[in-house]
Amino acid sequence: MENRVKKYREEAGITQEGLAQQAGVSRQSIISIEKGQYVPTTILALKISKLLKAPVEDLFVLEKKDWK
Amino acid sequence: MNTILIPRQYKWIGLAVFLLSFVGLIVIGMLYPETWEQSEPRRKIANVLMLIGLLLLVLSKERVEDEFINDCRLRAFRTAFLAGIIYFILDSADLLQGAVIKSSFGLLIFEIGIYLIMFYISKTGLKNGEQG
Repeated sequence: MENRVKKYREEAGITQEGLAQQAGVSRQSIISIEKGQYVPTTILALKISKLLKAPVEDLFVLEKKDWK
Repeated sequence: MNTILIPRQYKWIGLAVFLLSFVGLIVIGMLYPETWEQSEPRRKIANVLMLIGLLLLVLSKERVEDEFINDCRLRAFRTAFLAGIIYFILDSADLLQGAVIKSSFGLLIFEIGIYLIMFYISKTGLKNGEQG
């Protein structure tokens, strides 16, 4: 799954630490999500979506391989 | 997922218990060579203390407990469990001639060691290079 969290976060002018604090997770979680190492749960994805004021389907985009 | 964990300060207590019992075992072993026997009471006490120390280390909370940490924990447990089984199978088939691990205690230490290594690798993202 492709994710654009980093792009939207930078556009919103929020740091990884700031986003992590607001979402109630560690900075390491945000780093891992942005690097695509970790796929967040629906709850965290929705929280990030609200905090970055971006639709969740714009932040996390399904790729062809995800359908296999 | 709700995981039952103990307060974070137990991490340092666990580490101290492990190191002290490990160093203690080596010192006592040098003074009394018979201590190296698995059945020797002092050796057994040191082994149990080492395991208790590692258990405290494994069960203590991280600074921030979130779903990512739970995921790291799960992956580390899975790897350690599989490593233990693979080791046991190889050992049973006599494929590990001259292996260092020769007891159930050794196997447990091996598994907890694998768990701790895998957990910190997953947590710090060492597997995939620098942090963003």
